[in-house]
Amino acid sequence: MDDALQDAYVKAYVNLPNFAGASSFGTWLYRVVYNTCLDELRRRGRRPTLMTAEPPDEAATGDPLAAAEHAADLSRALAGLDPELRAAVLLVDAEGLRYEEAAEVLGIPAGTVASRLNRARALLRPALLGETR
Amino acid sequence: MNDDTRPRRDAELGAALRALEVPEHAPDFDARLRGRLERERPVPERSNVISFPRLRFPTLTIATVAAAAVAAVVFFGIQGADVRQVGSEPATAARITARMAQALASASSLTGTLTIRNREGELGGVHTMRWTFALDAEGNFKIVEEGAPGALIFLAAQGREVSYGAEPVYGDRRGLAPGPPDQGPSESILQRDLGSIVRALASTRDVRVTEVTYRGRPAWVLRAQRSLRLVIPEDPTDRIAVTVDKETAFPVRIVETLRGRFVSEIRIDRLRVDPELPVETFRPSPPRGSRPDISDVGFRSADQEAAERVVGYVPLAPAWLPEGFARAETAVARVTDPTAYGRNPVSRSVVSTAYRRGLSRVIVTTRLLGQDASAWSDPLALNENVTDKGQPFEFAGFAGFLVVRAGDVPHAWGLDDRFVVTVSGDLTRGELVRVARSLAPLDGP
Repeated sequence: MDDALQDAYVKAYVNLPNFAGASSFGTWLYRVVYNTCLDELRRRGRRPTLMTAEPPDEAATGDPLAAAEHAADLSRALAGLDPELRAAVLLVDAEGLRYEEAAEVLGIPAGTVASRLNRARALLRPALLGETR
Repeated sequence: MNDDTRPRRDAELGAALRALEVPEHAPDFDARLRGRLERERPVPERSNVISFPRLRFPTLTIATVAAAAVAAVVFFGIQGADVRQVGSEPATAARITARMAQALASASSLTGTLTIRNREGELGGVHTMRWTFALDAEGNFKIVEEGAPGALIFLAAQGREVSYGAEPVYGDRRGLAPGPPDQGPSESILQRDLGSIVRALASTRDVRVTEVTYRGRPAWVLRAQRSLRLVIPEDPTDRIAVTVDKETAFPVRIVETLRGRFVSEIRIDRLRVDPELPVETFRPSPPRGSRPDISDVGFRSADQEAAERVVGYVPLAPAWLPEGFARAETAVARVTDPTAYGRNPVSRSVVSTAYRRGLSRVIVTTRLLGQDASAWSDPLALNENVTDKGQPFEFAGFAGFLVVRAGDVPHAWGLDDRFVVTVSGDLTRGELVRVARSLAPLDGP
């Protein structure tokens, strides 16, 4: 991860003069980082497999603290997502980008952002609720 | 676009994702990146377009931090705490308290890794700090920040704290009190007594206890709807969960949230109870050639008789303490800083005595009241936002308050016409009441 992030920062640094200000600097930087990470993943041929839901071993709880304690489940679920789905849910739900901004970062239409979000949320929600075991 | 197709933000999922731990950079990340940027430096007229932020937390811009976090999770996913709820058979809070008291009382030393994570502002990323620590039953402790040179060492018998890094000047705080309410070693979660916090939590009525597996080990989780603000006192929180390792009965994780959103986490990993600590563990070794920046809080170590000579009165001591506690150190100060974050009058003729039992600690202090009794408020108040004074309490001729609540070290404080007295530490409510009521001008046990 460090190597990819270093590559991304160097790319951003070198290409700063080409940043025209058409988008926000943050969106532009996200895009540089995202593309660099995807390049590295492709180079390594690493494609995480989609997670499959397992039977729950405990009743789900809406307790926010219990949700916080299911961080490990959520981490595993997140790591199991396809990188494109992972990026969509992180940009919109975690980082708060508007869907137009996420579309710009990911280089896809806004409608595709929506569909990726739906799939990502459906796969992460059981982990969030502690239903993945 | 039709609004029905517009993806709305999932706030709950987003909060949980933001709370996940992001892998940290390798220690040489900054140096490597600076080297690469130096080699890639554009021609001068290009480099003036935007200055790149220094890549060292927390000077990073929000965008840079967020981008780094996204990179981390897009690339690898996240290593989260291995927490799994396995059942809900309620061990009672009282049972856990008893186990903890036993563990603290019997331990002679402790080492581990302390991780503190907190969210930086409403939209900020999660900031992680990590230290290794060692402490012993004499009150000495050492904290070393991971990936950074130097250490912070407290030498209890000397009332001295030395802190140093790579700089040519190191801190040397002397004349420190054994602990609250006077200036002791640097404020840290170690100093605030995890045991006291959990004990107070266990004494709170709304605590729920759950049995879980934490990092592969059986544990209890104590949950309460309380605001503790353990990491950043200004950060509002409304719930807390404390994970206590069943085998060792030590608290290993505290999570605070606000309306379901992660605020902070304190975690102890690689916990070792009773490791043998080499004699050099607590020996300060500031960089060769560096010079001390010495400050003096005003306390001096003394026995009970010497303390009486310095302050001009017979110090109070508890006639009763829970079994196993013994006087460890007494420090006196003719004049020292005000308590309660500077709200109280300057403290004069102070006697502070620490009683220890293993890693458990109780501190009794006495100081002169001065002219204006109305000028005094709770000397152990954590911050000025605390409006709950506690329960009115009269003990040993003093009128004051009994404060046993989540987030505070259990304590009692009170005034008579001459003195201000405090009793605080690893005590249950019942023990605290009994110790306070046993105070008398005589030699302690």
